[in-house]
Amino acid sequence: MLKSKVNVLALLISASLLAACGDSTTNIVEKDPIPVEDDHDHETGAGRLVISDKDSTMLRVYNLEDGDLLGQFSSLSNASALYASASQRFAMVVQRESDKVEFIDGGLYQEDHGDHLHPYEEEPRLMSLQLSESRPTHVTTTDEQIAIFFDGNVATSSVAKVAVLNDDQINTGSNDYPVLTYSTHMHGAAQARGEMLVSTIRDAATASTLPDQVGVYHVHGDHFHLEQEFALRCPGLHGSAQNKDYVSFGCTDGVMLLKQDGETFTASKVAHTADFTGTMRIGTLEGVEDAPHFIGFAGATVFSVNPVAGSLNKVDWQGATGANIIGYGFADHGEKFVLLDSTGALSILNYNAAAATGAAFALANKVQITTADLTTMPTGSQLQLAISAADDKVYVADPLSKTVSTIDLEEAKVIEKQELGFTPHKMVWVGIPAGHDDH
Amino acid sequence: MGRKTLLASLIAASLSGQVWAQSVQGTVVDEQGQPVAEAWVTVVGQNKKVKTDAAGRFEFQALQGNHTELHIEANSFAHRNFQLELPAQDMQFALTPTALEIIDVKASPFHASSTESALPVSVLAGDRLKMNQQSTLGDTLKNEVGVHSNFYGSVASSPIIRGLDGPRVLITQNGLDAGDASRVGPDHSVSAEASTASQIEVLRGPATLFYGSGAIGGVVNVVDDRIPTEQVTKGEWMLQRESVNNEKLASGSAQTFVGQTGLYADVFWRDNDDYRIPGEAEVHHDDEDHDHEEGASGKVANTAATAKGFSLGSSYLLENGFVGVSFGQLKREYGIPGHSHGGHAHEDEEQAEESVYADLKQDRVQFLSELDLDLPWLQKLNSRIAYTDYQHVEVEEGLVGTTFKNQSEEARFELLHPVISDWRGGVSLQYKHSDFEAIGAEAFTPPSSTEMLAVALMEERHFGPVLVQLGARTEQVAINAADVLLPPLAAHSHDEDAHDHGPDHDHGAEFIRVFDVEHKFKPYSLSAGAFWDFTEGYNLGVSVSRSERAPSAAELLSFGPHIGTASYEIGALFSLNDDPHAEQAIVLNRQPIEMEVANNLDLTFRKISGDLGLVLNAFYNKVDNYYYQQNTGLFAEDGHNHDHAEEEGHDHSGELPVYLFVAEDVILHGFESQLVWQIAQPYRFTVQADYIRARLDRGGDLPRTPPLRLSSELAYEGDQISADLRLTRYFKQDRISELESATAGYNLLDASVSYHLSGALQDIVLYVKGENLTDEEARVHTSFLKDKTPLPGRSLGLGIRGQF
Repeated sequence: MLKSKVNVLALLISASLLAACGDSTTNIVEKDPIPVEDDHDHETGAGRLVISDKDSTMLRVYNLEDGDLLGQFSSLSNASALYASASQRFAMVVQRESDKVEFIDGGLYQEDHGDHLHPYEEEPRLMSLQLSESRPTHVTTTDEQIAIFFDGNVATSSVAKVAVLNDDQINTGSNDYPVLTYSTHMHGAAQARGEMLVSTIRDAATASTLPDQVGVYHVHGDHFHLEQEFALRCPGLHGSAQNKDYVSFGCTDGVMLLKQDGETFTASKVAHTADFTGTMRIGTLEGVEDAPHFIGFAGATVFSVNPVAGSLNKVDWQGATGANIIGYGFADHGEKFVLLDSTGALSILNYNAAAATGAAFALANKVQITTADLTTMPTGSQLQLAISAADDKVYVADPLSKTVSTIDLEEAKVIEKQELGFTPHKMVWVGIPAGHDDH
Repeated sequence: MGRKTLLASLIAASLSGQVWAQSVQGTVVDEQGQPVAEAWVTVVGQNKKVKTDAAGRFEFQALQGNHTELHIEANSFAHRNFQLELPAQDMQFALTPTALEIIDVKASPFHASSTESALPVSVLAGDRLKMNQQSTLGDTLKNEVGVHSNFYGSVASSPIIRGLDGPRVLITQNGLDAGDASRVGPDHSVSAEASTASQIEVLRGPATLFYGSGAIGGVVNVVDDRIPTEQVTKGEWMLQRESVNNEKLASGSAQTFVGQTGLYADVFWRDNDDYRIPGEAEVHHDDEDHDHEEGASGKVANTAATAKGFSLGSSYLLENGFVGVSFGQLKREYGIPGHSHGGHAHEDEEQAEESVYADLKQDRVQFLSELDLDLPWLQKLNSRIAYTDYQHVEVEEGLVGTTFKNQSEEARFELLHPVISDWRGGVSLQYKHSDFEAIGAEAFTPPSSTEMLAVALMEERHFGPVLVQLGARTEQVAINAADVLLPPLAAHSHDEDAHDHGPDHDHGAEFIRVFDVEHKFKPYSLSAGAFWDFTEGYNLGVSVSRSERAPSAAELLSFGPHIGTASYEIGALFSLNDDPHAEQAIVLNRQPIEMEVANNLDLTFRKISGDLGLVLNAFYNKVDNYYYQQNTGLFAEDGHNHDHAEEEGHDHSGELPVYLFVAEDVILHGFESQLVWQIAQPYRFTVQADYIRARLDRGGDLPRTPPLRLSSELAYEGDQISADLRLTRYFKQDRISELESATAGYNLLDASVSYHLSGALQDIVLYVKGENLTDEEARVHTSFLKDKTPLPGRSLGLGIRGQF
């Protein structure tokens, strides 16, 4: 689109203008115009939302600048989850029940032009690449890589697999990404670390589909070799996250940590504290590269995990009784953490990365997204949270009111609500993340 | 006095001097007939100069012609000219005392001083210069009559002469363009240092005749001795500390000679912190709801500066003049206050204001020569050549944001002919070339080169008590810019609902138009002045001139955000799109670019001699096609890192008002007056006032016009102790342009006491000075940062300086 405009204009150039008045002359010759080289790699717009439809296989892409619907695509089946790709250009449409992953190009991306990152703004499109393996479930990403864990299926004797790919491969539709193939099925978790992959190991002899061990794999062409296996067990492993130096896993008896030092990993475990009662365990973990802390959920109880200190600290987010956490993530360039719960409240926590002891996450605000009776929510539906990586906005889709609310985290309020005209199911933000250093 | 025919005088001039050799011998005396020692006596037009001895005597031999004119000057006497027939023996030349300080101007090839010129001039020199010197030029000169400072948070300032500055006031160093970037932005420092200067001259009113287009409003010439012109050994040094910003200053200069070679060196160093103020730095107007916490009171952030420099010079001192060359380097690092890019006021962060600073470096090579050739057709040749390499970078958060470069060469030759029919004068040839470049986020002007070639003729002649000065100049100015950009301007007006989540991101315009622009101008200037000694001790000056100015590259070609002026500047090469609904708000201007034409009338009345001195100037200046920045009512992005800039409820923090250079007819008129009363010998009382009215011919006022100002000063000058007390009243300015706010008046009380110690080796002065003693909160109407940086609060300075 950009190119064709410039070409049309190129035909119009070279009009010469000569104006004179007395002893003044001005001679102007128009030269080839130059396309706008916006070298402000952070002025990248508000981004876009990809929203799936509860009642159909339709996925719609909205422009957050003006709320316009930019495109709609039909996936092969209903999405069980939507994830953003490593660069957040693509939406990954995970269809667990039909063993598929499809990709939608959000249309916003940037290219490294040496001295600057050049932003592009294009129409969204459905990509040709499809991943067809059994039960794609947990998808984890870093800034560069995506690890998709295919659980496998005991019923069809399908084994678990992990595909590790990047955005270039999605863009070119390349199938040459490496795959780790297990000999059994498992509800596992994997974290890509460049040429290394930290992934779970399940003893096929056990009854549980949950793994209890972790291994480090190294890529060899189109497959992986196990390089390191840890004796330290992680019973009932569920939930994983990584940051710059650590990979963490949730176990029934604590949080297992792998510290990376070059190509070697050292395992340790942070045991449960007195805050854990009964069968409480951390089953969900979240982390980002630049945040030294992880955050873990034991049901509706939230803990911050300090891997350096080896400590677990309860985060007082003042959730309402009976509230379940249904959406979460780091927001506002990692300065905040947001929690969306089943009562329709969005809790905004300030994240203090420097906190060695004490509260790394402190409740700053709560925003009530909706006052409707959420118990009337249709089965299988819940509020959906999408977090912008471009700015300090988050979005909440409400299947009841069929709206998307825009929440400004700075102001801690809903600043806009847009009608969708369909029942939203899953939602993800795509676009150009703001640089880390310009804030 | 006999009149010669033109023919006879031509013969006289073409014949050798001896044929008409004549002499004059006499004594200079005061009113009481007492001899005046150490008075300089000059033969006008013949480059002969002697000093009177202890008995007031002097003598000239072998003068040309059979009548001549002598100019005699001595300390605390009014300068006087005497015309006499030759030979003349045992003459008495009586001088009358004056209360006025009279110092010759070096910027002009003709003899001129504050009491002897058709156009008003003033000179800041000696102790007064040392006591008034500041780190920036505008602030140094702000107490001169008719001169205001455009005060830029004390880190930069330019003198405003009769309401004009920027491209209309030329800043020169030893008569040649300072070659910096100060003419294109108020936040750009003038690269001339006052602490090592010997004098600073201000020419008020059009001086295009000598200096060209850039001097239509006046000239400020910073003079130092970097190229020695005489065989003397002298030196001075200075140490000073100011309390308001902890400024520490050390400077010194020395001059000597070895045989016929003169040598000179100077060095200076200054360093200051943020300056203190009595109240809050920022003024909040009602229409803004920023909750700025920064700089609540106490200090103006980001106004620290450090500077250092040196110059070295050497000259060959001849019987008939000198030839010399010098090298000077100046480095300065200074904060740029008020540079909050949109102010993401994170409540939990102290440094809401980004720290932006400029890092300036200038190298300058100068060649100066004055030679008395005494050729039949060439009496004297003055040559001035300079090469200047200037650069300053603006650094934001440790990264270079914008780099400004100016490489310039200038050469000026004055060829003065021998006296022809009593006419003195000559031809001036001038060439100037400048390559200007700005690269980076605030590069609001494209790279351009400006070339100027000029020839001027200046003549003066006495008709009895009337000195008539005539001048004409023609110039060729070429401005070339190969890549003038017309970017798509996502400008919008703020009239609409600001909260409509508006798509003000014009993604349709995805190209920048590029033009190769060539401007050629042929400005000419004519001036006529008369200076009449109508009665003893009084004179009257009249000057009329018509001057043309080619607009500068910045006025023509700019297109971009300029944080120094907090505006988005667009040059006159562009114009507003007539179609308000068009996608592009700004288009190429298809109207001819016209030159600015100033028609100036200047009247000066002076009472020179006696205990009461008085100088009154009145001027009326009608300027056609005056280029100024008109507010378009549009806003454009400032091109900075605003991660949040494009969110809803756009808070305008990352936006700047769009100003477009347009040419309109304006009228400037006003007056300056100075009264000096020598009450009794050690006590002198000075009252000064100046006023300027700057208005558009079609109605309306120009922005940042200096207010009416009145100052009075009582000075005591004893043998050992001197002191002064000055009270200046700046009246309120409510003649304002659109979108400008009125500024309240204020009083400044300054005082100083000096103690003089005369030693065998050197004279030493210890001094204390106090500025703004009442700690008044003062906002400078002429400042672009009026609402952000008030004047410094009370300051005490302590210093010592020596002279040998």
